Amino acid sequence: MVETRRRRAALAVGADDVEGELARLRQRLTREGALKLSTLKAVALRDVICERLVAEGYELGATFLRQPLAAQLHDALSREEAIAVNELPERVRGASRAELAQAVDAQVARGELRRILRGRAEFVVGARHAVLGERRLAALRGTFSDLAKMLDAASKKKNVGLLASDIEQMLSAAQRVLEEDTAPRPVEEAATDEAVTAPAPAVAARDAIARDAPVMPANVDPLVTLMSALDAARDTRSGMSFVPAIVHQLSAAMPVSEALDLLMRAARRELIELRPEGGLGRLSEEELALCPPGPAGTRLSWARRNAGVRA
Amino acid sequence: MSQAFFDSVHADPWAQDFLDLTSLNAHATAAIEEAIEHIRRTARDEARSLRSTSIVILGPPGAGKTHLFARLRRKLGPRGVFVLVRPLVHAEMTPRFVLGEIVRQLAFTSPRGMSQAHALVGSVLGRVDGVGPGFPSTVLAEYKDLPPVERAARLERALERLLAIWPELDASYLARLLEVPFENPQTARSLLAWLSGVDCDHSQLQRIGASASLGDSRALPALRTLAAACSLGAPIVLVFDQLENLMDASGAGLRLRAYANLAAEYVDTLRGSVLVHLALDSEWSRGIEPTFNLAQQSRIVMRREVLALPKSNERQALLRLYHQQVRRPKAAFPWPLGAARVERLCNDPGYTPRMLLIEFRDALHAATHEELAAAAQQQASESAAAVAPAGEAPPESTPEPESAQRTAPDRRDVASEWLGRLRSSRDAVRNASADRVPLHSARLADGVLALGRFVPGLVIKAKARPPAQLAIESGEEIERVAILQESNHRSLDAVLARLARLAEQSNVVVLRESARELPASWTETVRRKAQLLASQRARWIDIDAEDCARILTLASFLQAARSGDVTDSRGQAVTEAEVIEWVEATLDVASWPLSLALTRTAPPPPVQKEAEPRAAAEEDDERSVPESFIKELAPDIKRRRRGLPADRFSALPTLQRLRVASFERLVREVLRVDPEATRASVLAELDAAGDHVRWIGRSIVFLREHE
Repeated sequence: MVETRRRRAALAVGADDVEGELARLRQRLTREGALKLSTLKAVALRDVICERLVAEGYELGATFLRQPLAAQLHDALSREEAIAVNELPERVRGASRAELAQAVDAQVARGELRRILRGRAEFVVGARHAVLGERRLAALRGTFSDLAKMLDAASKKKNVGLLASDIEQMLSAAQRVLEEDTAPRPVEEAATDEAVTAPAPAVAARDAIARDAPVMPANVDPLVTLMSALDAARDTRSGMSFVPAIVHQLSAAMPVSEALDLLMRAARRELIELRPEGGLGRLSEEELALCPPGPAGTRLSWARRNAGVRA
Repeated sequence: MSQAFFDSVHADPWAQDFLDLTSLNAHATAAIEEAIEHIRRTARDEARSLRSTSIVILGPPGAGKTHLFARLRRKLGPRGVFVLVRPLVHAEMTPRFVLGEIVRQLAFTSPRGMSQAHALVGSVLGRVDGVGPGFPSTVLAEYKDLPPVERAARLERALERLLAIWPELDASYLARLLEVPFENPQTARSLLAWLSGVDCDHSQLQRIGASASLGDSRALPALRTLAAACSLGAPIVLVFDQLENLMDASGAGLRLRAYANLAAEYVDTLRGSVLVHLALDSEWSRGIEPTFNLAQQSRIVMRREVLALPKSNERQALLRLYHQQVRRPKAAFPWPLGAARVERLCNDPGYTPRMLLIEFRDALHAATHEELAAAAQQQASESAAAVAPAGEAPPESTPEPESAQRTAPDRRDVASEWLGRLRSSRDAVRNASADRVPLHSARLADGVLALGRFVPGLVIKAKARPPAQLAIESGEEIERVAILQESNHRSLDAVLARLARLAEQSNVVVLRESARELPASWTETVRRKAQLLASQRARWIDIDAEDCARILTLASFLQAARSGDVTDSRGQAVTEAEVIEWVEATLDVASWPLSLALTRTAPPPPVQKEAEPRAAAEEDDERSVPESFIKELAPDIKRRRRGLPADRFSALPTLQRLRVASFERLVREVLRVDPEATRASVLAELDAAGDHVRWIGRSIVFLREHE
């Protein structure tokens, strides 16, 4: 009896069946996030199918085949601003607590997720949120600690108040810490303190490359400096470099106005192409200031090497 | 080449007039061409192993993404079926929607004069008959010459050969597709309506011998059938445009994910198609692709092409091409721009083809205006006294307007763009009515959603609860909005029955084109409608043709603004926020009949008095114009044919050049050429022109000939 069943299964399997089964499973994975291995119908194909899907980027756990945990977490955080750590298992499928904790740690280490406190509970948020790191938290702690002491002292004395302008000054100091964006900061804090609007991997990669780019000596042709900065800021997927990132790097060697002028000169010589921003109001005021003006009121915010221009 | 070329700075994907610099972004064209040829080769040699390809094409606004579509159509014509789809705002694009778009565009004519449907069937039949797909008209002519019985037999054999390759195809769908070129126009239209999944009326079904319209469950198999059949002769090139409109402000990414699922599924399940995704490069990189999971990325971004901006020599070539389109140029190139301006345009970074076209157009208009003003001046002096005619000075290149002269208006002037789109929408509504095809309820839903943004107190959300597509929220109460465009009384009966059940739980408002009034013979349908309305929890609104055109225009206007495809009178891109501001200030959407009906507001009483004739007014006299939204003024305005003021003739030529302008801008432009003109004299001139001059709202004016 067992032998007959095996033969039947073997007769039913063909190359088209593999492709068909793969297509169906991909759709299920898209809809459901994860599948129990035991529910895969074509037992004879299970190894082949799992191998193919793993090669495509899906993850194979002990009992589940799933969408990558990183992608599931990213999806969940695109729907919610913050998710409590103890609620994460409800947001993803196909992972044990240990696997999930490991995935979260890895993403935090890569800067794709951030851990924050709200009240006493720990949450995770996406990379696009501005999260204050140790240095700024220390600065705020200092400011508010002083304020708390003043408030305590005032409350213990009768008929004694506090000057409103003094309080305003302290709160302004705190506000400045929140708004601080351009002051030099320690490398280890850059990823946690930076407010980004682009996806974290691209931003982190861009910044890492920009940080790692060598500082050019003074006697190097500025155009060579420019091309190095452009290459350092290039997004590998689109092949384009964000102009504010280029200018930021060049500003280590020259004033911003000179950097902008250099960009325009290189574009006129057709060494690079400068492209107008087509985004839906994505550029911040700071970024706008780092983009040369383009025709018809545009800002030239993306650049790339022209074909045939060598490094 | 017509004047319309210079007036329309946004590429028309279906343009008959077409100007192209083929070397510009040839790599992108080649990528799609390669994909099509690969499919045709594979279809010839290994049809069963056909797969689809997906290509992403990115560029800033005006770089040529939509133009690329027009170029491909022109170049490849009958070798591909070209379909352009712009995403829905209120809902996901279902297979039924995509099927409808493909078949609707099968009826469009290719640049070589043959409809895409005919080219498709001709090439498929040529393939299966062993002739090859390259002679669709010859093959069709041969089939048309056959007696009907013999033709039917040959079509049957062709169908069998196709099913032998792909047994899973929908045979009845395929059979009807193959019949399209051989039927009379009325039957062919009915066949296409059925093939598109639209709800067909009884006469359409009878004409084609079908018992029912194509059901929802058959939409995906029909898509697969269409894709497979097309691959043998003219592969489907399915182009999704303006994808940045899928990004919602909340950042939740739900519509993007739905799109990614759909696109990935089509790559997997449709055979032999080319999917092309057009988007703004910055939005794709930062907001669209990052939402895809790995599996979706690998399917959708099989190949990426980034459109380049034209280099200096290409810009010069484009400007020369534009010069060649001028009917009677006053001088050789670089007229009307001048050498200095050409130098700047060719060398300053960041110019897109659209920007170059706008610069050329503006220079051309300025040159034309100066000529008109000079002619008017001469006419005035000749009528005053006999003077020796001045020798004709050589035409000068138009000096660039100094930035100080271009005072920025408080509000961006996009009236011309609005009017152009409204014209197209009116044509579309008229054609649909003539073909007895309903307007797509999904597009109307997008229009109603757009309308809701501009009506105070009307909160419309894209919350579907079938058969309702939208919801009006008022505090805690919800009124479901169902747009019923069904053509068949049985389908409509079924929907009305579902609505009656829905009305037990919440209020319902039904919208339907007034052109699709329920015939008295549909007794059951009329009864169900009455029953629904008698529940006191439902109401019925008929949308007239003009409101249909307006809401379709409003939706497409907002989407185009989001994609950077709306420019103002100065040629500068206008943001969505600025378009919204203009709509709020100018169109008075709240007084459109549909808005009044949705908000249950009584329409204003008709205007009793006509506008009184105005004598030359004081400087600060303000023009009182007919109320609110765009409408035909002719029936209400006395036709005035008074003579124009003898000493002033500058407003109408200026308005002719500007085509559409705010009154304030018109006055400014008139003052540049006629410093002695006044607001009052401009008003008097417009008034004297009677119904040759039209107004939008209270402040936008244009000539009737430009309507």
